[in-house]
Amino acid sequence: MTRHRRQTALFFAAVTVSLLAPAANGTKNGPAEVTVGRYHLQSNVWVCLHQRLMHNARFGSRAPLSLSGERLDRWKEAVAAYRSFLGERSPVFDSELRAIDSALARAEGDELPRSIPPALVQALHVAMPLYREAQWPSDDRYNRFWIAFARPLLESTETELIAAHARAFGTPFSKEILVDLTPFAWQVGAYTTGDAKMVHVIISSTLPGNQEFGALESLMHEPSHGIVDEESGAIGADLARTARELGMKPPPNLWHAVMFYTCGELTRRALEERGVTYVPYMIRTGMYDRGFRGFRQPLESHWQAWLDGKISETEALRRILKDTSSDK
Amino acid sequence: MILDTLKLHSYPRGSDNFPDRRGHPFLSALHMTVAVLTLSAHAALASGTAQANALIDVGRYHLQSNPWVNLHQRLLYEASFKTDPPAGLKRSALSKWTSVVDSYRNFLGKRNPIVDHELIAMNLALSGTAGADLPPGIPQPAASALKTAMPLYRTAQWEKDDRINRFWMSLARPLLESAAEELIAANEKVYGLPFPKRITVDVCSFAWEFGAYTVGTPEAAHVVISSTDPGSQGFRALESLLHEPSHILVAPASGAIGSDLVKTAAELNLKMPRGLWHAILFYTAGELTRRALAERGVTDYAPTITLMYKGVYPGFQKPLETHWQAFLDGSVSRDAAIREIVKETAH
Repeated sequence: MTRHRRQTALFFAAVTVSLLAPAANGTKNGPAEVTVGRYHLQSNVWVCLHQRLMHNARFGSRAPLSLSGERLDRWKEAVAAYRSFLGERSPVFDSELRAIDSALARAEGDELPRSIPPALVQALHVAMPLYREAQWPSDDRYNRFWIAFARPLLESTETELIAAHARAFGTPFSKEILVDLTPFAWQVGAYTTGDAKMVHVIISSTLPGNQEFGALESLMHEPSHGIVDEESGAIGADLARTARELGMKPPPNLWHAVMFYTCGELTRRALEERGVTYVPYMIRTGMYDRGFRGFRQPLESHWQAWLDGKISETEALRRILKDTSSDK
Repeated sequence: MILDTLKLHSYPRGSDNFPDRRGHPFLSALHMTVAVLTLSAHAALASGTAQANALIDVGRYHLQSNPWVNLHQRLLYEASFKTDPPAGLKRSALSKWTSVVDSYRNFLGKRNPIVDHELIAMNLALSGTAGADLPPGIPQPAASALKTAMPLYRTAQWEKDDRINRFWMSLARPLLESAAEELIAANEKVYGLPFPKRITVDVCSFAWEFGAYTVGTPEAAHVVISSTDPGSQGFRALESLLHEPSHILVAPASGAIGSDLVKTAAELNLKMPRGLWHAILFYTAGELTRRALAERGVTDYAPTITLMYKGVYPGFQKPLETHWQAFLDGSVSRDAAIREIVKETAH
């Protein structure tokens, strides 16, 4: 889904404080903030509005349905300001946008953090009353329901799954994980920034792939971006080194497929121990027929053998590279 | 709880091979005794902090993972449907287990725990048992078998069954906390009858033939649900937890739906297809659950009946999706919907 990038100092401050904007009331909707081990899940009104405006500006999602006339015009003005501010940038890779996500994650009440660029301050202030009236109660309800279901999943499996991921990747899992639930989460419904010390995860609470038992895989997959990367960190560095030794060029998304496979398989095992037959995201959503075409057999043979303890990680990657890569 | 008015209502999910429901029997003195014991045992179970996760209360729902009920249900299932014994049992332990299953098979005979009074009362008594001792009133052959099997079960299987049950319950809890009261109100509106006041849900590795069944009365329903059946897991748990207690209100030829179907079929001089009442119950619980989940951001929930039209309910999809849906949407009356459904499905 995403690649991890180091966060700014602002981000660390944001996660440390981890305050929440007031959310829609209603105990039946579950809490707006939940902490389970190293995970902190929240439904934050500023982050949700920001993500909605970014998605509207970049991917053309609809304005809140109940807006019309002059109120819709004002919303569109905010979206236009966002479009202009975003340009071609991505919140996954752009340091300013990452810092904005982090700052908004600690925003409380009606006050925006001082670090937010003026162009966005105005857009957010214009849009917030419209959002609170037209959309936030629904978005917040979805987020809280997602959080309520994710909580027991994490309470039951977090320690065991984190240990399993650390073993599989050969490196400790991200230590602090802030998860913002939002209606939209950029292009594919989830992304992560940060590193092994601290990650900031944005997950769409309305995307079917992230829901029900899929929530658990998402909560393992996303923070894994804090330790796995394309050419560095876990998997990436080993793939690059092994490819050099073999004189081969790995497919560009192989590192991500290995990560997907790992998180999906470890989640499947944890759920199986709890009586649930889970189909990992890669299979469930047909990724082997799209971006990961040709990867299934190598992963199911060699990476599975590593996860089962039958061969070493290096040997598994060597075999996967041979089966998937072209000569340099 | 009004014990002297308890009537038995009991139907499995997923099957329409139901016995004749005429003349619902009243509970025997034994049943009343164990029902009283159930209440006190529930209190004992609830007070034990070590067992906190084995008992969850959400509104009128009381969910529990109880070793006696789990052992009983496992023995019933193995005796009737030939599943494997617990994998950890070897040699003499396995031989002892096999003897217990044989004695359960003899004790069970051709009886069905959904409709047989003695078996219903026994399940209820076990459900109220928190300690190591069996409650009084368990029939001697079954008591002897359970006492022999329990040490084997605790050693070889209970830890796993209990872990799976508790996980299921922990996920069902937020679903009920969020949606139960809203779904109960919607259900009452559809059927025109109050939902059961108290619902004890025993979460088990096995739950007779189809993974869930319900007995009881409008005052107190007793549901048994399999925690390992994919049809009851995840968001589907919410539909199961609405569907099962609905059996107290809906019956093949009486109660909500059933009596309407019988009356309408008689008026039209038509013979109702078997299972139509149950299909309507499935449709209702599934559609109400789908709506509740959609309100919470889950837009792809497929009600259980959508997986049953081809195999179990051929020919029912269009009538239900047209007429019953129209009733649920408020665009036609229940009588009109039933009339059209009967016309389109009956012989």
